[in-house]
Amino acid sequence: MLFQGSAVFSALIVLALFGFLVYFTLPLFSEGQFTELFSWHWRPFHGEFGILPMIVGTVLLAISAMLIAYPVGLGICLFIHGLGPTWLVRPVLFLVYGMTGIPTVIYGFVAVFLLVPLLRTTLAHGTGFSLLAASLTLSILVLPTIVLLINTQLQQIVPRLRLTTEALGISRIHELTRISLPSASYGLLAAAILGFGRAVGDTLIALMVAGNAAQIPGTAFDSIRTLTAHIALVVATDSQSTIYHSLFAAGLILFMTTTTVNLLLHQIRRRSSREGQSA
Amino acid sequence: MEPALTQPKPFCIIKNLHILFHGKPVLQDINLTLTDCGITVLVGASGSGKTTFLRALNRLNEYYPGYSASGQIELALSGTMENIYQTDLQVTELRRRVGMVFQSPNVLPVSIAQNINLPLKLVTGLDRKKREERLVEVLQEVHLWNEVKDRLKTKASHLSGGQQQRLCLARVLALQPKILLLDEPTASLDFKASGRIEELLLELQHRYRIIAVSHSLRQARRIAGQILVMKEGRIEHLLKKDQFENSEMLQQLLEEFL
Amino acid sequence: MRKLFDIFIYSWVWISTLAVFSTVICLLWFLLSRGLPTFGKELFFGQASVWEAITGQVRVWDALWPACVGTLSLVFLAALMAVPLGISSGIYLACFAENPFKRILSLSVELLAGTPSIIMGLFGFALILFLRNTFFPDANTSLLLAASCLALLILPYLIFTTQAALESLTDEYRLIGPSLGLSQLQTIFHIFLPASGRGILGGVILSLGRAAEDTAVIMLTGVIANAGLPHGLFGKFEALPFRIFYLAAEYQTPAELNSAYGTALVLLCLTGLLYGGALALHKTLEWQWNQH
Repeated sequence: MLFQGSAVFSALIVLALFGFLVYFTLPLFSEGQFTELFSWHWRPFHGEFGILPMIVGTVLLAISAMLIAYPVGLGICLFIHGLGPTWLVRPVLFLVYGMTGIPTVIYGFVAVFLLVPLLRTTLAHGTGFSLLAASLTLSILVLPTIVLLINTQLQQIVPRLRLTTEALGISRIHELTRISLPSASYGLLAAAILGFGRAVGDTLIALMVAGNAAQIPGTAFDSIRTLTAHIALVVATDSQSTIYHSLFAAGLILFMTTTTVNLLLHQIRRRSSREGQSA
Repeated sequence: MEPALTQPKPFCIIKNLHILFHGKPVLQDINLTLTDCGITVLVGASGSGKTTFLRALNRLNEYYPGYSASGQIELALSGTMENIYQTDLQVTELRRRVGMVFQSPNVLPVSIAQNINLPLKLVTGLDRKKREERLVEVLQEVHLWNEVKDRLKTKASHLSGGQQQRLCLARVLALQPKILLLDEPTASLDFKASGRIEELLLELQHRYRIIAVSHSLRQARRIAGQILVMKEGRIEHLLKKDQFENSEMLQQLLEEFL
Repeated sequence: MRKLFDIFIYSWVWISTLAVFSTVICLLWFLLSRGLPTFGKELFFGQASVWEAITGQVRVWDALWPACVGTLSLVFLAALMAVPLGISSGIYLACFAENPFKRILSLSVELLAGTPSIIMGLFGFALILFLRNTFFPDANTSLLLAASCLALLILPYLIFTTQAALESLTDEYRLIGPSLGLSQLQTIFHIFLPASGRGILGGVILSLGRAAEDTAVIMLTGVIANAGLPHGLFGKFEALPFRIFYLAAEYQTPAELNSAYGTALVLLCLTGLLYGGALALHKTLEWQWNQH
């Protein structure tokens, strides 16, 4: 019947994505270009198609963006749940919801014309298009994801505890840091994983702000290239078909990473709902 | 109904009814014959299986996961007794002829008129003119017509709780059921609104066979023609009017009930 | 010690909140102050006259109009494909599916939701390569392809919101239909969907916003900088987010830069409008349920 058909169709799309990526990556294995793929050099005109620098770039960017966004997001959640004045709670939540509505390309755009020149002049180091600029911008992008996930869980925990802890004379800070946050562990973990997944999957900010040099960065002020930006760049420059295979390998690695992240998340959600917490 | 008969005709015969959810028995070994003598009221502690019993009569239990049952239920739906689990009777047809009203009024989020009109159109397929006649008829039957006739197009959710419950009753009556099942129809209403519903039921009992669950023994005494007492998934007593009007019997019942 | 800890926590919390607040204010201020002055006929239609541009008599150069039309057609086409599919999948998951089949279906929809948008674009690109090698040597990236890939991107949102809206109906409400003798399909179409309509509509609007803002998908599937108005389903096209991206990297003159600011502001207004609409629907929805 119609409903079942469309649901099954929707579910099969993921398989189709995976299938296509594998189909186009396969020639690499059979033609023995596999080792070439995992090398440290991307020089297509010299026949070198290593994507290791892009993998490193992706991981570095995602981790550094999370290192900025996670503490800030957690701070905002604590602000909302009792450490900030009540009259500011709604404006802050509104702001975070509003941030989810700002297009990624606009974050990238403003970063190019506001943040990058700022870094260039204050640090007097290179062009400003760098790992640092990208991770600062990306952290703003993933922040709402983190805040909203943790907030959802704290909303279920804090009101239940507050009356009891207030009656016991426990301070807000202690209530939040010693009781509420530990019992929101699933939400905290889910926020970290989902935030990381979104950071890995983002294309536009890396492409616009990170400089796109296929290299291992020495410092935070050096340029990097991520897997996502790599795909966009290679497709944009029409080239011969050997490059395309490495393109799909990059896509496959990306897809498997985000799928792993989402499977982890799924597992966490299931376990948490079994234990009565909902993440 | 034929007045000459000394023995009133049965309209509901239940044999060896067992109902389980996820393997856990909720109703056990129900054997019962109900005859026409006014409203049948079910009383019992919460969890004694009243609602499940009621929903067995229109097969609404099947809507929940983990349901299994054995036994037989026969209802007088069109003159003769019919086994409601037999396959050639459509379950939707059964539910149309055995109407049900729920604990809290659950109007649809549409206008007052549409609340009656929509199910009528979907279930019976009557034309517009017939439907409009039926609408007026049933709203008058539940004494709601004078209160809402000028605002049939407004949202049903703007009515008071008691009015909403009467609208739900009208919605069921429009489908011309033979039997009415009421699941604590006054539980969510205030004293005055409950009174109106009770009066209404006493009027309706001459036109429909009514089986109602009640949360209060007092209410049961006011409206019942016979009382079914349930305990832990079994029928404990079937009391006729003369029995529960006898105060000693009632005393005993009260003790059991509490 | 304890005092110090408290001070540390409070300053962390306040600094985080204020930093994010001021960043967003800065961003909006920057876009408004640079973008607003560029607003006018020139920004949208360049040198062409408004009427001739809208009716397509003249080609519009260096202006927003073709990108606006491109984005609107993308969103419309993507919604046309994804909305029916998403809503009926959501209905299936909420009303019919049973475990373990339901769990498998939900999991794969979750995986689809977590897949980066560039992968959807790459999928479209691969599809074209595949078609070129097999059935259609002339296959090329186009408006239809981009809209299909965007449809894949927004499909999970539609499924989730439909499912959630239907599953949030109360148990008593679910029984109305069957208790009146309505069939399962009648119950779904006449009782369930009207009640959860606002929730579903909110999800649809949100997904339109997602489709309008995404850049990574269309970059691989047929958007180009100077296509003019879209040339049918199988032609190349322009789009607002891509125009922003393109001008940020390739602008030549101050006029082009100004046009980029204007474009960014227009896109922000568009998505802001869509998100605001969805939020307003959500608010009135909550308000309605609280009345009961």
